[in-house]
Amino acid sequence: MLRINELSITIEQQQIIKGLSFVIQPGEIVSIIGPNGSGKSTALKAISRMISPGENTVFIEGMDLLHLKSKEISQRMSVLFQSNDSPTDLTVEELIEYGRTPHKKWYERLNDEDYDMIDWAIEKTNLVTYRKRQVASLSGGEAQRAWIAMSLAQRPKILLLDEPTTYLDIAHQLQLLELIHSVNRELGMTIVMVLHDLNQASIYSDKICVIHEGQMVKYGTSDEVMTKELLRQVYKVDCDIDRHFKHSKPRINLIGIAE
Amino acid sequence: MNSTPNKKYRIILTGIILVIMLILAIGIGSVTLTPLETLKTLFGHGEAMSHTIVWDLRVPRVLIAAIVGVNLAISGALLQSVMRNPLADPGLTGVSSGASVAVLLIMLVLPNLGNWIPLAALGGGIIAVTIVYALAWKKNGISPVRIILAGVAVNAIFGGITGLLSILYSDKLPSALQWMNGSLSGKGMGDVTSLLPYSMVGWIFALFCIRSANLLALGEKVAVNLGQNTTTIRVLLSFVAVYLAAISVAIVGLLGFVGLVVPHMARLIVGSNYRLLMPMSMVLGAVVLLIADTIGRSLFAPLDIPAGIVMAMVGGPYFLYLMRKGDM
Repeated sequence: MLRINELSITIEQQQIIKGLSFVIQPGEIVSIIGPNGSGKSTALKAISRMISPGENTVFIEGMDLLHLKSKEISQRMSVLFQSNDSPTDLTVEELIEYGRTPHKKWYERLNDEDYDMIDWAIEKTNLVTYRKRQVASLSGGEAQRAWIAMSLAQRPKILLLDEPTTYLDIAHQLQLLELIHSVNRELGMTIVMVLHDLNQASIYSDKICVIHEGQMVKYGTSDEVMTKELLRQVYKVDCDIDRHFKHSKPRINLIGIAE
Repeated sequence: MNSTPNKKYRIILTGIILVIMLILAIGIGSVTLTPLETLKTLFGHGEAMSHTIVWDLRVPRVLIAAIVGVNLAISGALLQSVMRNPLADPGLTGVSSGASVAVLLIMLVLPNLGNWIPLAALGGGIIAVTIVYALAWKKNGISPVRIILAGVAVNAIFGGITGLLSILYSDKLPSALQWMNGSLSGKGMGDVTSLLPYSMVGWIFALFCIRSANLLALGEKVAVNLGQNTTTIRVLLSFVAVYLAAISVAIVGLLGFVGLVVPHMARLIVGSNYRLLMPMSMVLGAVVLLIADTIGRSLFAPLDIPAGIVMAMVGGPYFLYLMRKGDM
């Protein structure tokens, strides 16, 4: 579905990403983790073409990202950013309608099928009662759901999320991750997200990509990635790892900074 | 929350106000006509003298005011979207002064190239907007603060050239002075027929810009995510904005504040969705400039105060009021 091949990004003579390569299968949830400044967000920006990845580095369904038109990419892939600002009087419904843009020619209006998708996205994100509200008047968690609904209305095969839970409280974090999980399971949408919380990454991901100082340290399942040795090497912390009683995935208990 | 149909009626209402204003403005002047007399004359049933006054003096003038008002309002609305900056307008970004320097250059230095004035204005406007972009563009998009700084610099440069030209060619200056102040006096039907077709082309293009303007207002990253080629959109929208401002400057000179204030007023009335904001700005632009010009020519009659001066004196304080209210 998505293949990253020797991706390197240099910004102002500083190499942020060095030779990143990995393959994401259709329908997988992949989390990219790493310490602050490791380059994980830059990697996501490159994959989502917000910064140019360079030729022959990012392939969607076998096609080079740079050879596709922006619109063709947007029909297959959607990105959700950490924070967004919208015109102050934009309503939830109007925002979500914009999600249909990639599927319309410039002169086409929305039809019944589009409105069905919009309604579906609104219901899926639990925003029915917020439909006519202004996005700017919503709380952080609600606004984030509205932006996700826009991405869902876009009906992409791949959804990229840049630290989607960062500004949310724990209840909204869980709600959001459950939403992403259910979209993945129901529609087979491939998910790639940058996450800060290692336990969330462990629970919700099929694969985890660990980036440290611009390079990939490890790419594998939660069990393969979440080891004491790796966390000490990458995050410089000591921890204990047991299993989450519900999800039976590795759970990290932090002990302290490594000597 | 106001519903969309409700807001559409506000645009229609403003359109009706525009028609009434046009009829009133045609009647106002040294020879005052009642609205009924005006209508009679317009439909060819008036006296011979009022026929001359109406068709040769008043109609061209009010039409120029309305057309230029529409042009500058669209220009401001588009620039505000492209630059994601509420302060962007043809005046503050230097587009108008760039165009006016080009026009002045022809008026004073190369008067035999008079036919090229509109094209020269367009060229001057494009140069100005290109400089502003070049200065304001940073890796991750356009910085709002840098746009204003770049606009200040560009305006200073072109202001300097204007000053230089008016000293070097002071003998020819009086003919250009009315024009420089944004005056609508002395406009004839010829000006209308040369401005209107070009303006209408711009209006049609502006209506096609609505969707793109809305998408740009969501922010650079979101627009790209939705499959927009943001650089192309920016260039196209800016071109329409500069084109409309430049052809207006070529006819009436520097007329500030219309492009800045009108889209703001329109935003207060119909919100920031360009599907409503664009038509509202167009109609309101015509109304505002028509009022400004009518006040200018009747307040101290027989003195004719250029509409540009009225706009600056009324528009400036209104702008400060908007800032104080925190709407920008």
